[in-house]
Amino acid sequence: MRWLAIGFALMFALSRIDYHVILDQALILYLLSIAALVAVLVVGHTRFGAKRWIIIPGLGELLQVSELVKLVIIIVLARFFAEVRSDQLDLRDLIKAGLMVGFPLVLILKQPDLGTALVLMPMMAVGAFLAGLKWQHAAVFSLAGILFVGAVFYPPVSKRILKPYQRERITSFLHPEEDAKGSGYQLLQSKIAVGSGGFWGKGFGNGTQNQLGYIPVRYSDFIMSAWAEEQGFKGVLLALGLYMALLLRLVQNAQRAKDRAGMFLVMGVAAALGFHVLVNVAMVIGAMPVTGIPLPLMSYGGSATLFVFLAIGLVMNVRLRRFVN
Amino acid sequence: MKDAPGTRDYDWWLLAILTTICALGVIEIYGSRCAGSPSASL
Repeated sequence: MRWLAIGFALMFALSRIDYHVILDQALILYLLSIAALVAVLVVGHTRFGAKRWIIIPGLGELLQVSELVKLVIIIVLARFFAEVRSDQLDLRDLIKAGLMVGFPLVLILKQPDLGTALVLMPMMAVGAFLAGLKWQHAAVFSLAGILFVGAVFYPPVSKRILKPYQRERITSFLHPEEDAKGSGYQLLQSKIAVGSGGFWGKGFGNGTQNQLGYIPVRYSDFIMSAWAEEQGFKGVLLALGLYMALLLRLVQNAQRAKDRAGMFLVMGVAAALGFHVLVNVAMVIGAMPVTGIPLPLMSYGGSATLFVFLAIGLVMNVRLRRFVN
Repeated sequence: MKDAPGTRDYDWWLLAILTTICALGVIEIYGSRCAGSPSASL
């Protein structure tokens, strides 16, 4: 509740600063982000085997820096793509954008935080698409993506490119029943919870998978499993309907933006939030490997909540200035 | 064209959707955090 209150306050505060002023500071924000990510690797706080957090001086709260870096990448990409004046992106522009995203992405992967690192990809892809990605480039990147996914799922290659815990996640995704009490436990329990909810759900507080603690991290990454068990298919429809309405509203705001920079900012936010919802929901029903991506605004987590509110603050910022001189 | 944005320019529909999703999350987290663990219940 405290993070929600802080988030709402920061969202309104951010919406009052003209987004052109924020875009002008993109380079400084980017350099600060890189410095913060390096600081996390050096003096960061380690939890669950990952070094992702720094302690906020004076408050003692943990802040996941990579969540705020996502916001900076949205700003940096919006400025970059808005300054491309031709109708189509050439290869040099694409490489520049790729390097801008690639550097923080590698630092985030070092923590390691695969989920957050993956979120940077759709932000870049949506920006490039709207800026005029050539179909030849799109075809090459799609092919590279398909080959990479194929390599990840092909054991002889994945042994060389993935760490043991990452390989375990792939195995537990493909065959969770092989290690039902170990690496496959999360996924199996989540699927049982979702399936047992049926159409109407078991009712608030009556979900046995949830209430007896069988769903791991049930109020964080797997909150949708708990929701599906207690509220059923109708509850999931309600939640997904709300997310869809949120995304459509964002797209509408992007269409009404005063300039290209505003449109890129809003679409960057839409890409990040859409990817979060898609991957999280696919993860809890076993359609994608577990990557630790939270469900925006529903999952428990201060930094992730802060990111969403600040991102919506940017959207409001663009909307507020659509009729302003 | 205006010189400064006002409160009416906020996207109140977007805020309403945002608040509703937050409310669903808070309700479910409240329900989940009050729950126990398998070992505690046996």
